Order: sequence, then structure tokens, then C-alpha cells
Amino acid sequence: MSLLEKNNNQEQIILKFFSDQDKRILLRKDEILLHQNEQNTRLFYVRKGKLCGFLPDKHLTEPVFEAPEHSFVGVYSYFSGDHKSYSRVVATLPCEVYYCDVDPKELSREDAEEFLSFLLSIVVIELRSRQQFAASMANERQEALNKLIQTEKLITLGQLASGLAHELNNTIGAMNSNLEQLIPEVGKLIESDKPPTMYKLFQQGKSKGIQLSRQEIRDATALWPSSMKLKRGTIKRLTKAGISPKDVKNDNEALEAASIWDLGRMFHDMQVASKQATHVINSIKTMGIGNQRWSKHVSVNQTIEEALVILRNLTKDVTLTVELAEGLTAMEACHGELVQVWVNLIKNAVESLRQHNVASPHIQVKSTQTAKHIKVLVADNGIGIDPSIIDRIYEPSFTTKVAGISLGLGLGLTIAQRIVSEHDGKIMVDSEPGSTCFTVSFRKKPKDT
Amino acid sequence: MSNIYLICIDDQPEVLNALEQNLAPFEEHIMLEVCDSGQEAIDLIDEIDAAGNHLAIVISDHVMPGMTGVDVLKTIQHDERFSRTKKILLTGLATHQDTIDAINTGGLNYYIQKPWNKHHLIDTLKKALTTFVMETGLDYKPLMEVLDQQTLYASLRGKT
Repeated sequence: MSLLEKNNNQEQIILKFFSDQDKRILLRKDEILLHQNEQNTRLFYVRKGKLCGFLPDKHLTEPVFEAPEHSFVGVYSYFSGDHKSYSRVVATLPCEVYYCDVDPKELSREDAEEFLSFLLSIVVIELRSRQQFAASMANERQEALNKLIQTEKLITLGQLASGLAHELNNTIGAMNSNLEQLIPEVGKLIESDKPPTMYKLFQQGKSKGIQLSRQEIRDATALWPSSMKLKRGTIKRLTKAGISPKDVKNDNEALEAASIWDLGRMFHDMQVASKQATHVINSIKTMGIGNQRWSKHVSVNQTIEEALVILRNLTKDVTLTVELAEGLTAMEACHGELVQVWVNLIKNAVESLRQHNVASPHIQVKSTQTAKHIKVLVADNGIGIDPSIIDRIYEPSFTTKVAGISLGLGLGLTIAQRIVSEHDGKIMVDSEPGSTCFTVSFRKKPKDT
Repeated sequence: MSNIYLICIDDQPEVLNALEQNLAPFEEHIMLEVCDSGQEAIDLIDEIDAAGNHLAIVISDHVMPGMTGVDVLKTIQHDERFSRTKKILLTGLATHQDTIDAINTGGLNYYIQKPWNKHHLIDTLKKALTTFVMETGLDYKPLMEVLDQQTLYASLRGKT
């Protein structure tokens, strides 16, 4: 028979040794039962409440053990030779405690035997529960540390992104302002040296770039009579410039016209590219440090459109349906933060579609309004969210993304939810295989009348 | 006389324009076509083949709406009419897996990173064109200016 089984009549023993009303102590919350190094020859039984042991150490604010209801305190000091309490024992809840200070030597032989074997079982049980407690504390600490490391990573990433954005902003800025200077200079040269038709071609190329589609260019190029001895490349350039065969007087002039139009076209393309780079940089800056400016008249539709621009590259291989309600009431909001919400929701949808190789991936973004609410809906035709995890999707660091697919650290929905609730809104999800829909709804402010 | 074609695919017009401009030297000797999408290119190569012309090189971006660059290369790879066509990926954004895929199932011949160096791009295309011309058994003499001399000599030596 094991030690513990022998004492399954524990309750009776507890009643026998730990029910003396003279040895009953009531403790208020935070009251101290034992000081560290206090002499103690008593064994305490916690009938109600909870006690915790602390080691006074400025780095260690967590308890070293917990004694819930029906457990024992003072085990170490009771049995050790010096009878000193090694920790400070404090009631963390109001407690009812009974103690026993029996010296087994004074008991009858039978009672002494029963009492001693009971004590032994207490020691074993206490040993085990304290070990468990220590293990769970270590575990908690590890988890906290991991979380801290992730947050740290995220902050580093944000700093890196905004640093990068700043550096690039300067370079792109320098290129752009030189370009802005260069274009009119070149324009002036052409204007003074060439006939007005040439200058017009330059302006056309510069302001519009190529207007025809590639197929249209191919078709139009084929229409040029082979009697004209122009190179195919020149014909193509003339076609792009919108010059037709009848406009061409001689080869040299045609060649020049094509070159001058192309010069304008190059400037056009450079301006488009630099504008795009500036836009990307600005959006990174908005993401990184956070644009916390609130305004009373934010157009939700505009924030959606900006999010779509930021995600243009990511949503390339997805069919995107965007339906924005006309005449949507402006709301008081933080523009940049709303953009972030749509970016996060749409990005999640794209990444989930891509990760599961969904055939004909489709995302729908829609804004609607009722008398009291503005609603934005982001839906995808992906595999849906597993019902077993749907309650956890807003938890920080909860992610189903496979490592390497994205830099997201499982904070996307957490951030979205934080922002939405800061705007006094709600975010809801409805998901089944083939259809997942996030709905964000904001309450309209009652009109000041 | 049948023509030799070089096709460029990129969904960004500015990139496509720059590419077309950089490759102008080729246009003196072979046909250069640019396409905004993979599908447009697939349609175009059907026409090229139907007219009895040769598709020498396809050079494509990877991340595009609709067909990706790797999809395009795979389609061409699995088409017997274009078994000799040289396939080049020109991209700034292909994952490791995409690249592995392109090599293993798309029969990728060259991989060029964006932003590209004009001279490197032209050299690569010259090599690819030379290999195509020699493998197909076309007359290389009128094309000398756009062929890679070393590749050409190596090929000629191998034949004798």
C-alpha cells in the first residue's frame, strides 16, 4: 500500500488535528502569517482563502509558492531543525487557517503513528505541488519573454522601415526635383530650335505617354505601307506618337518627330515612376510611425482607395471587386489608421488565397451606409477560417501564415481591431469554406442640430 | 522570308517602354514585340507560329495580374512548337520557390534581376539568340551584329 492510499481518511485526520477553535486564525487580505526567518513550530492548514510565499528580493515579485484551500503551510519550518520560515507568507485572499503544534512524542503510540504517516504524505504532496508551481512559473516567464522578443522585432522592423523610407525619400526627392527642372529646360530648347509641331509632339509625349495598347500599336504599325523605307522601330515609334503615314513628309523628318515625341515620353515615364516611388515611401511612413492625426471629415471611401493603391502589387493576381457607396457621410476619424485597417484586412485575404492556391481568387471590398452606420466589408472566396480558431484570430501573435510568406508577425488583426475600437466601431467576421467576410461598422455621429 | 521574334512581357508600361528602348539594337535585325500581359503574349505567339515565323526568345516579368511570368514560361515550355525558344525571367520579385519552379518546370534559360544593366541584358539576349539560331539551323550571317561571337564560334567548332 502506498503512503497516500493509507491516508485516504485524511479528512478525519484533518478534523482531528486541525479543528481546534483556539488554534484558528483569520487573516485579512495582505496580512502576513509568517515573516521570513520567523521561528515557527506550527503546521498550518488553509481551510479557506489563499496564501502565497514570497522571498524579499527586488527582482522577484512573483510568489515562490501558492497555498490554495485545503493545502498546508509551514511545512518546511515545522520539519526543519531550526524551525525558521524561509519565506514571508502572506494572505492573498482573506483566509481561515487552523494550525497544529502537536509534538508527536506526546501522543499515544497509535495516534503518533497515524499522525506521522499523515505528515509524511503532506510533505510528499506539498513537494509535488510546489514543483508544479515552479514549473508553471518558469513556463509563464518564458512565454512573456517570447512575446517581448516579438514586440522588439516588430519595433525594430518599424524603425527600419521608417529609416529606409526617410533615406529613399531624400534620394527620390533629389531625382524628382531635378527632373522637374530638366523637363522645362529641354522643352525650351526644343521650342526655340524646332518648328512648333515638334514642340507639340514633345509636349504630347510628356503629358500623356503612350496612349495606345500594345495590340493597337501592333495593328497600326502593320498599316504602314511597305513602300516607305522606314525602319520598323521608327514606324513603331511614330505609331506610338499618334503620327499616321499621311503626316509624314520625308524620312528624316519622321525620324526626328519620333525621337522628339519619345523624349517627352521618357520624361512622362520617369515622372510616373517617381510619383509611384514617392507614394510607396509615404505609405511606409504612414505604416511605420503611425499617422495619428484625427480629422472631422474623413472620407471612408478615400481611405479604402488609398489602401488599394498601397496593395496594388499584392492584389495583382486576384480579381478585385470594389463597390464604394456614393455620398457616404464623412466621419470623424484618423485617416492613416483607417487605411491601415483596410490594408491589414485585404492583405490577410490575399495571403490566405495565395497560400492555399485558391482557383480564381476573388476579393470584394464594399462600403455601404444605413441611417446610423457606415459599414465596410472585405470578403474573399478562400478556404474559410477553421471554426476551432475563429475566436482567437484577434489575439496578438496568432497567425496561420506559413513562415516566409509575409513579414506580418500575427498582429494584423490585432492592430485592425485596436484601431476600429478606437473609432468606436465593431469588427465582425463571418466565415465558411468559400466565403470569409470581415465587416467593420462605425456608428455615425448624430448630427448637431 | 520568315522572321525571328523576340517578345517582352511586363504589366508595367514604363518598364516595358524602357525595355523596348534598350533592345532597339535588335530591332534592326529581328522582330521585337512587347506585351502587357501573359495572355496577350500567348495569343501573339500563336500568330507568329501560324505565319511560319520563329519565336527565338521570350523575356518576361514574374509578378503580373492573370498569368505570372512562370505560368507563361511553363505554357511555352509545354508547347512543342516552341521547344527551342529561349526563356528568360526578368524580375525584381520572385520567391525562391517561384525560381525553382521556373527552372524545373518552365525550362528557364536565364534569370535577370531588376533593375537590369543594359549591357548585361543585351549580352544575355545575344547569347540566347545565337544558341537559338544555331540550334534551329537558321542562317546566322545576316544577324552577326546581334549574335554573341564566342557562342557562335563554339557552336561552329562543335559542328565541324
